[in-house]
Amino acid sequence: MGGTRVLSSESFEVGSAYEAIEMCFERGWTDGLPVVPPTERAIGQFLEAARLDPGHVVGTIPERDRVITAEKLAINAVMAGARPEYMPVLVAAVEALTDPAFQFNHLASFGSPWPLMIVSGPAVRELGLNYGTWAMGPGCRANATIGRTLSLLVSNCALGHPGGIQRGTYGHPGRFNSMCIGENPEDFGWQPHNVEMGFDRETTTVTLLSTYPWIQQPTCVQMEPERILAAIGGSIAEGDFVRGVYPIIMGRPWAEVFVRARWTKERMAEWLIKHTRRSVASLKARGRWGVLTSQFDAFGAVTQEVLPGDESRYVWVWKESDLDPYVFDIAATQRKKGIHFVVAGGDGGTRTCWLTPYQFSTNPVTKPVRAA
Amino acid sequence: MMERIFDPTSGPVTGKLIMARRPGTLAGTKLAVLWNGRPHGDKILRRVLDLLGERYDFQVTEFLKKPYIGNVAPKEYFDRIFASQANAVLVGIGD
Repeated sequence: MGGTRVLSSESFEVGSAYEAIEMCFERGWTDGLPVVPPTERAIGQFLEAARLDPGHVVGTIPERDRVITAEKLAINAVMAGARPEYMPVLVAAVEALTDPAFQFNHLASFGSPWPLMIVSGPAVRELGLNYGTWAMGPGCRANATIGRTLSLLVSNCALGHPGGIQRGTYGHPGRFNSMCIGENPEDFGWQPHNVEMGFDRETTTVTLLSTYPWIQQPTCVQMEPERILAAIGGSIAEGDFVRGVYPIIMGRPWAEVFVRARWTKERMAEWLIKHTRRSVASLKARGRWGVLTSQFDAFGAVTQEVLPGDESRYVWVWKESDLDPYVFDIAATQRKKGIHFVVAGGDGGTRTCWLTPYQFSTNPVTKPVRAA
Repeated sequence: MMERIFDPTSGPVTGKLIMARRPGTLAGTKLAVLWNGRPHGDKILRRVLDLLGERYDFQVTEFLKKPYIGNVAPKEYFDRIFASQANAVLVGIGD
């Protein structure tokens, strides 16, 4: 790598930065906010940081008949306001986004899912990703612009916008920036996410997990493992009640409760899998009975009327039961299910956070970040 | 300041896709049906077939359901449709 890089993208002459920004708006290249003009010098710095040729194919999206080259990634990263040193993380993110297991096409769905991006490992500190107070808020350049790059890239290179191939009913506010979080890298006895995903502590990983916007749950009435999990599990059970892989995000004080009590992540997951359930009566009352079951031939005969005994019949979020066909689409039950525990967020207040997964045609994907 | 900025978009790899030519009539044709898997889509498609059947004499060669709405139909489906020598494909959704 090195020397002159010849960019293949069409270029346009502009008289000023302001004119360049306006041109990006006019051509529909932005997310509604101003972008940094993608000049040849800036794009070259990003490619140099990743030590990639412009034509290097980072990923392919057969559903859209598109390839994502390093050049297009670099252009969108410049526009998002990212820094060149973010490129290795962005490359890993695009590799995850275009992995067949992620099944890109689901992002066009009515429910407007968008991937939560979890960065775990040394790059969290190296790049200055916020993992503490305001972890999902605006204000941190690394979180904001890494997340924004992915959104601009999907919009500009894969038709992921209204008018393209995007049918989301409401859209997803996290696409602006705040769906990229770093995991708390402090060593306090907690198994970090990169290790949980099968990598060593020194390997930074990027995980994409398709979700809806986050939900916060008060959980500190009693700081005991079962009490915390009961609050989180209860909130999940009362939510959309979908089956899939849930990210549960908690600040260090909550994670320390489990570390001190010698609860492993496996034990935490087992507890939630066993106890997170909802009564048939409640599911019917919310119209969640026989709704998503496209394979259920007797759909027309399913009643939403609460019958005697429904209060003591249960369906579990993760644990399978004979009642699953009344609640979960078969496509969802054939996907991965489970829980990703991640430590991020402030150490004050009363709340932990979880996100409802997009339950149908996607699986979480984790990729290692390779040094440039 | 004169500067150049670069296009962040990318187009299709295989070039511009065009729509298949519509048959002039369904009379005497072979028709394949592809249901995208959404609930009730089969009912809509069968009703459309009934209505078309009142006007035209055609043969349904395949009635396929995608394994899941959000995924592209498997290559095997296209192979079956081509092998059935269908002149046209009726596709439909539901809900």
